[in-house]
Amino acid sequence: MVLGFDVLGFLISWISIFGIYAILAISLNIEVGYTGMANFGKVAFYALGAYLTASLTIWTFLLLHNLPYPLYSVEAIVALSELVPQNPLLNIGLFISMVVLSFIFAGVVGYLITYPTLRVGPAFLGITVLSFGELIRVFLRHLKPLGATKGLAGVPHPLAWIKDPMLRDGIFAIIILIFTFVIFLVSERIGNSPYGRVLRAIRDDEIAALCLGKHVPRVKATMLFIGSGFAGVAGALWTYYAGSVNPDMFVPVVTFSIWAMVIFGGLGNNIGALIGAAVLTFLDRVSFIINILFPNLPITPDYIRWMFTGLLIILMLMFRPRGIIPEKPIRTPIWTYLDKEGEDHG
Amino acid sequence: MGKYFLEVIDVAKYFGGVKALDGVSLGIEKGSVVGLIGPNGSGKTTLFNVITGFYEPTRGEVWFENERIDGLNPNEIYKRGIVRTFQIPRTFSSLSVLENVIIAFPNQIGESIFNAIMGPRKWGRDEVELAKKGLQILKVFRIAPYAKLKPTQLSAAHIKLLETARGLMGNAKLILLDEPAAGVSYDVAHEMFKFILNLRKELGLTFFIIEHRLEILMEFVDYVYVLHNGKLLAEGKPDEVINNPKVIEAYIGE
Repeated sequence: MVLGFDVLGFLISWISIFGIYAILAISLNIEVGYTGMANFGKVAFYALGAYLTASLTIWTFLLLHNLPYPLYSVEAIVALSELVPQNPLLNIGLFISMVVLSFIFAGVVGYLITYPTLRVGPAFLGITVLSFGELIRVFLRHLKPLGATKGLAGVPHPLAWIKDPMLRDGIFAIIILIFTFVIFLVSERIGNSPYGRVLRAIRDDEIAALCLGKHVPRVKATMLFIGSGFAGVAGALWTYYAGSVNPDMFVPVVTFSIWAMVIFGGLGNNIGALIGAAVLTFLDRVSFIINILFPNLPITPDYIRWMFTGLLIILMLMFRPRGIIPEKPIRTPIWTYLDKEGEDHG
Repeated sequence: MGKYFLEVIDVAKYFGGVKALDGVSLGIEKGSVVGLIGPNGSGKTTLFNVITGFYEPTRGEVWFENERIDGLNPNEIYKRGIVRTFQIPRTFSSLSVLENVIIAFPNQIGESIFNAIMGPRKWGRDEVELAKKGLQILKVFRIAPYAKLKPTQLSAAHIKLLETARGLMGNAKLILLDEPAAGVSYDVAHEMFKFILNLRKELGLTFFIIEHRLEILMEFVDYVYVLHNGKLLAEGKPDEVINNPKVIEAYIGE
């Protein structure tokens, strides 16, 4: 291998990060692409899922083994590293329940935080949620029981009982992809249904939708529940992937890269969100590796990546404003019926 | 109460110091076609907004089919059978013409999030039924050939027709039309009003119509209310109203 470059390791980390960001991009797409709600605080719900998972997983482990250490302490990390590989069932059970809890927790917070703002106007939603995200981050930076600025480390991996780290990460990458696929399918179903039709109607003209008997605030709150819940799931997966969380993982720039993915791929369609996530996480991984291989570059590759992302968005908006894959009509049996009808008439 | 299908009792709507409506009372009988006229800024659209639940009246009551409806949300009022169109048509630009009509059907099975996730096995058959019904309505309005197009690809007159067609999909009983003939050629407007009379006859619908083009309106309505500065200035049969000196004065000025 040139420079000792590890292709398999690269692929596994790219696939894992792609899966997590694809979930985030889809969750943003069903809010902004389907329903027209500009969520500038996606990272908040991602952070909630991640922190809930990290703290509860560590807490449960310490509790079950009667260890009185604080969650963030070095003693806890050391003790956990010995305890974790012992009981696969506990690890997997915790993993599944954390994913479910993260969905519910982030979803409910999303529902509550946006409930009052929905009645004011679309711009308020974006701004409120944006500041909410920063508020969460600053709050976590000062929350001593959850490690303040250092965050929590040594989160027990659900597959910690697999000895070979490459195999473990590989299997976990596949698990992440399965979650991504399920969330993709659910989002497609939502979009290509009468419910999806209502969502687009609300995006196109909220007042007309209201006039046609659609309960606009309830529909919007439901979509925010689901979108935030998906972001919470992504947060849970991220925690297990990275093994640690700290407040500075959840800066607003995360939200903006998710936006970049959705805009790049094309608002209103989930395949576009997948493509956007694939391209931008690939760039992220490449810059990460260049960073390791050439530590003494005059400019950090991270900045080059951001410039490149910006350039990409500008070029997209200039030449392909509807994204790589533009939005498609809603697929319901109406269209097959119309096509058949058209043939009948000649 | 009881006599009228829709009854507005002493309704007022103030915006700060501006009295957009100031004690308006009127009634509409079932199956009638009633006009609402008045100079610009006389409160016509505000009255529509109060009836359809966009504004809560500052004072007064609105009754529909012997139930009080003022203060209800627009979506609840829609479900009781009152549909409106807008001065500037509001269609859903990313949906096809047919979908624009279908969406007006209330309480669709697939409009629950759970059924949507369960997939088309749950609501697919209903969709075909809705498509049939929607196409029939589009045929009545003669815009069926454009079913697959986006509303932005239609002419202004067709968009107006589409908005009215949408109302019929929702089992409307009372249709409020806000300037249906604005921006439409005389012939098309004429045809549209003939159409409205037909619908009334065939489906027993009731219409309440704001219109500035009196020459067309007066030909077709049974009864006319005239608003001026938020108050009811006159009412009566079209020929009575049109010859009423107060109305002429309000329109032309002193």
